[in-house]
Amino acid sequence: MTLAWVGLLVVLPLAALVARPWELGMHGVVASLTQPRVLAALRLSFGMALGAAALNLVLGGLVAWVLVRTRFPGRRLADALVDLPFALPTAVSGIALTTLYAPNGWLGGLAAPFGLSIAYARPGIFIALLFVGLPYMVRAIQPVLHDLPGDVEEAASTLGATHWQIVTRVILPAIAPAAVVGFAMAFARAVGEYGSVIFIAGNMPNRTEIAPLLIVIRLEQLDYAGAAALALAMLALSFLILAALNLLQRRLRRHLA
Amino acid sequence: MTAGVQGGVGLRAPGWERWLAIGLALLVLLVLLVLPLALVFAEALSRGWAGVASALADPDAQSAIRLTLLVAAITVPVNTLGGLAAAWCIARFRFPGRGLLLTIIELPLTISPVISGLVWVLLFGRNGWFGPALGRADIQIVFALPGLVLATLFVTFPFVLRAILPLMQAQGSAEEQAAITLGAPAWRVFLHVTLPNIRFALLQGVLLCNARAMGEFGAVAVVSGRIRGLTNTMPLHIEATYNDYQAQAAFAVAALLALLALVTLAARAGLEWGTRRER
Amino acid sequence: MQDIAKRFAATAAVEDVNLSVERGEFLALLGPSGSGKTTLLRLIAGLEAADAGHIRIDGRDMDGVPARARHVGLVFQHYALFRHMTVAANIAFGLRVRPRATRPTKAEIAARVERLLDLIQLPGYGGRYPDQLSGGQRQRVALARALAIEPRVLLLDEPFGALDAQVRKDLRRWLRGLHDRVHLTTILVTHDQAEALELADRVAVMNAGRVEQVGTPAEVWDAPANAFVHGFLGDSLRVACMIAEGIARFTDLPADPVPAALPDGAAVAVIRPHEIALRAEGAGRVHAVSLAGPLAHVEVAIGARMVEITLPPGAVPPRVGAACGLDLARARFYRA
Repeated sequence: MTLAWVGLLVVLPLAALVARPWELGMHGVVASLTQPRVLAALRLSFGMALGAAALNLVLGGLVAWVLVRTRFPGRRLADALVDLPFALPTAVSGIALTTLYAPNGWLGGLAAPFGLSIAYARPGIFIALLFVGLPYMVRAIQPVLHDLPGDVEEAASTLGATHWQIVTRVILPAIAPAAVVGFAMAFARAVGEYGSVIFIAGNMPNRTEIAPLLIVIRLEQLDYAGAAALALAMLALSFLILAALNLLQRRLRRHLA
Repeated sequence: MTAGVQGGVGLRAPGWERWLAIGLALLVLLVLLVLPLALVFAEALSRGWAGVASALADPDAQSAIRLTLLVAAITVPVNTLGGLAAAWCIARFRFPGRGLLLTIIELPLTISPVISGLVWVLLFGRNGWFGPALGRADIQIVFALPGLVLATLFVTFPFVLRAILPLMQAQGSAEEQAAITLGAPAWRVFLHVTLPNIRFALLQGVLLCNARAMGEFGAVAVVSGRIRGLTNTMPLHIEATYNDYQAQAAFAVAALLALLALVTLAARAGLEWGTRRER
Repeated sequence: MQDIAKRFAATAAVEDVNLSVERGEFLALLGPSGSGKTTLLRLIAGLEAADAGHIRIDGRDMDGVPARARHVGLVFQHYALFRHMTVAANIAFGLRVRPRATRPTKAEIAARVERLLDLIQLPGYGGRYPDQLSGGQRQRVALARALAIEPRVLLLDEPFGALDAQVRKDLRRWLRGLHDRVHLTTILVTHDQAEALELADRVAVMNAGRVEQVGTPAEVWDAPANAFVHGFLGDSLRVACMIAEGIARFTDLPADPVPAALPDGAAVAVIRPHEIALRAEGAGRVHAVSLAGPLAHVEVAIGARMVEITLPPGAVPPRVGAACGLDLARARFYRA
């Protein structure tokens, strides 16, 4: 029963995805993937996803540290709120972020006088990807930080380390493997993100058109093989990046049984 | 005396650094999470409650709500049962390909929702593998309810499993074996021993599965064909009205989904301590 | 240390402690859990701030001096090693975090690490990670890490608490030998009286945040200052009694009165199992006899209580069920 469930719902569809592009022939696949518009979309999606995951290392790390190591009124509420991007439908966050950062929006209005446009431009994409990735990072780091024995920090302190040295030499190396896992998850989610992004992105070909949108466009043009080729390329690229991150994570964790 | 200093709170950062960190973290949460959420409700109510009521009373909105509920009513039970069965197999038995099975089950989490929808079109779409055959038999899958259900099943596939698997593995099978040696039939063991042990985690998984099922956008957008009043779920209805410059109407439906998200989060937080007790 | 007081919330963890430790001395803080000994240690290390009183090290007041500037080596019960660093990096940590002006060169640090690895008898272990070591080895690395900064005081917080009995014994002997060689001022916190008595030059027995007695191991063992100290150092029997004109009459155990040099009034008698003599007759009955090597332990049911007695080597153990009595002449008496 388990196998039927898994087989019908996951394996069969993925088989179609892997098989479909090749009806274009090797040449066709390469040609379809090397169109400037496709390359631009891939570059945008992967670049933005990596960048947002990187910034989330800092933001998520900060939020995790504050939630674990400090006490302030409303901390539990803040803790529960971190999961909002998990639970909020992407279409909802998409239109909310767009309205918020539009030139006449609450926050977009603050940036507009400086000639800065956030929505319908790349900063908007970045913010949307930041939004969807944040909980992954926080939830990856939080338990490790929580389990990090307090006496290790105290030991460092009696050995003469300053607060800054304790953070950089004791805490950061200890949470590094978890941070890499969080980075990988935030990246994986961001690179394929659709709903939160398409409203705010502007969707200008070659400029602000993300790869998942291009898949949708090809599908609407009934170019199934082309859509499948792009999807497969995205998966392969993500897989390579995730495999590399997994390797890094293992190296970092090697001595932390 | 504090006998076990291990696991203590660690060193306290000096006051101003702590408050700066707290302030910055709260600012991040405010800008990134709270403001968008607040905006949803503010925009929804921009024309008062009457505006919300009329937006929700729109026939297309009504049909979208009905469709969303229907899709969730089908997918959540299927994936709950499937997740339970798979978790049970993986936690209790050692078999070749167990790791592979786990990887495959987790795959939908790392796949773009668009691709999750695409795979069904590749199978059942007009140019899909089975498309022509289905067309002759006059069975509509893509651009119809079955397609929406399949796409939603795919994206919500791992939630229940992920919620209960760690717990089932941690608890081991000692209790179940004890029940079996006492002569209980397998289904009774499952019902009276296994299930009560994981009920909080299971409920969490079901909640998440449901939230995702009702809120999924990318995957259903690809398979639905976006036929108003027919194959538009709530998220697709939001998109359609928003793109028609009926922002308030879009936000009214969005507020409904945001409420669902908040209820889900609150219920999860409430279940969290229950799960911790089970561990 | 003068008049140290530390309060946590409403309860006082350490109160009015006055202690001074001589340079090169090995002092043990002995007490049950909750007696405030670890808090006192953390106060000295600068990990807690005292609510009142002063801590001086080498005559310098430590008020307001943060832990990192105190030059105090602290060894934790659970080692608190840095798991992501090698043994050598752990030991070198305290040197590497120094500001450039006072930081030894790389070669000097490496040389000192080597010396310390020899000292803790783990030469060649520098490249390993803490998770690859046994508990006893980890504790020695933690010690080397604390010694690397050449501390003015070495503080040991239940350093053997997490180890099994044999390792604990070996490590204890090694630590005493080490102290005899390097003569570093050392304060050991422990709840194990055998450990304190074996290792320390002086023992401070603590109870409920106060120091009950300070003295050499012989002093606290032979002349406990009060019933608590006496009771805490090894097994003992406590019997309530009334003293009148220099004679103690036991009130909750049928035993013959014995002389006691205390003023009239209620008192408590404390006596160790080997100090109780067995008599051929009396109100008791031999309940059980067990042999542990050369010593015989006798359990006597007397009154409503069960009293354990250790017979001197060579004594013939009584028969189970025989009548017997207790001689408490060697008891010590304290005011109730």
